Amino acid sequence: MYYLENSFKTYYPTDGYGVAIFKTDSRDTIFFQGPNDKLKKLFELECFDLPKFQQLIACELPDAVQLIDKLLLHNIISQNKRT
Amino acid sequence: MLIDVGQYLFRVNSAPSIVKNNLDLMYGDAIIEDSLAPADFTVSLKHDSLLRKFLKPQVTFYLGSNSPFKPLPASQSYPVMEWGMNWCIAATDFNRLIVHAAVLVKNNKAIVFPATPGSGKSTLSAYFALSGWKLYSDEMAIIDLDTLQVMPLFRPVCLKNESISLVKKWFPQSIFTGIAKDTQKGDVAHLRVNSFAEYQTFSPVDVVAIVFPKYQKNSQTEPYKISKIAGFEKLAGNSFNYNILGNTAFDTIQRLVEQTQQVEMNYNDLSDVDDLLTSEFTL
Repeated sequence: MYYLENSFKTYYPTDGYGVAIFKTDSRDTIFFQGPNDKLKKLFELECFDLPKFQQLIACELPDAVQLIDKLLLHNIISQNKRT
Repeated sequence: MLIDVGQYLFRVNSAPSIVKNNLDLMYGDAIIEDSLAPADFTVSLKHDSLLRKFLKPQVTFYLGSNSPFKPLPASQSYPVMEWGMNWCIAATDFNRLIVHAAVLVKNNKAIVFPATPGSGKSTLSAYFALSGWKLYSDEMAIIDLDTLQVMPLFRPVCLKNESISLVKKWFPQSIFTGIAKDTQKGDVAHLRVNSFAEYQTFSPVDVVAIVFPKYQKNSQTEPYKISKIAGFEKLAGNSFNYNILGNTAFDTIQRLVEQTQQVEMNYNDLSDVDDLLTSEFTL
């Protein structure tokens, strides 16, 4: 399972495409492409697994793994539940 | 010598006479002699040693007693002073969002042109400013964090290489400094586009569009909308103080992107750009 961290804020543009994520601890901004209604559903979850992620983002497995790696790299998600 | 560039006051403590003459030419009535008013920045341009005054002369820019840059050839003195003044603003103002961009205003509506490589930003600034638009800045958009309005700056346009002769050909009466050869940006000259009295009639205005221009020889002037997320990414990437402002910059760019249109535009003929922007954004 992957757990969402709480040290970020999001911007979903009103044209319906993409999301900008601002990491409040590192001050990094990370951008994800794609229809943002699906991205919004993802970032509203507390945790998800790979099949759920794939189902929401509607992408192939290698792309899903790559996106999850990006989320892990930027500490937007972790594999440990928050205490 | 105190220079009022609109949002900031610069005190020039010492500078070679050629620099002072060019400051007089570029800033005119914005220069206040013998003023004791407190300045935002106290700057100077000096020879570091007597040897370097005569042998391969070099000058160093100082903000107070600190020098942010390496010495450069004395033949580049005036551009060094202007670049130093740009640096003072970009490196120290954390009360506004500062984006590396030109800002042009028509009928109280501002268009911001971020400085992407190959944009021809300065040529575009000079052409528009001498064709009836108001130039709020050739170098940086200063955006109020609350109102999102863009503030005017009184600074000359920095033209490079072929643009210098092009603008001189288009506008033979325009006021230029001499050309500094072989700088890190090539040949450079500064152009004055407004008098200080004209500048004083400028006030903060709303931004209606962020336009990313790209000069392409023999191309049709062709605008196309980009997604707001792409506009956000480009604006953040061109902001001098995004990382310092952090959360505030994220919120500010978000509001700015929602309030404006973001357009990429290939162009060849600047008069087409003028017509197109005027009709596209009902200026």
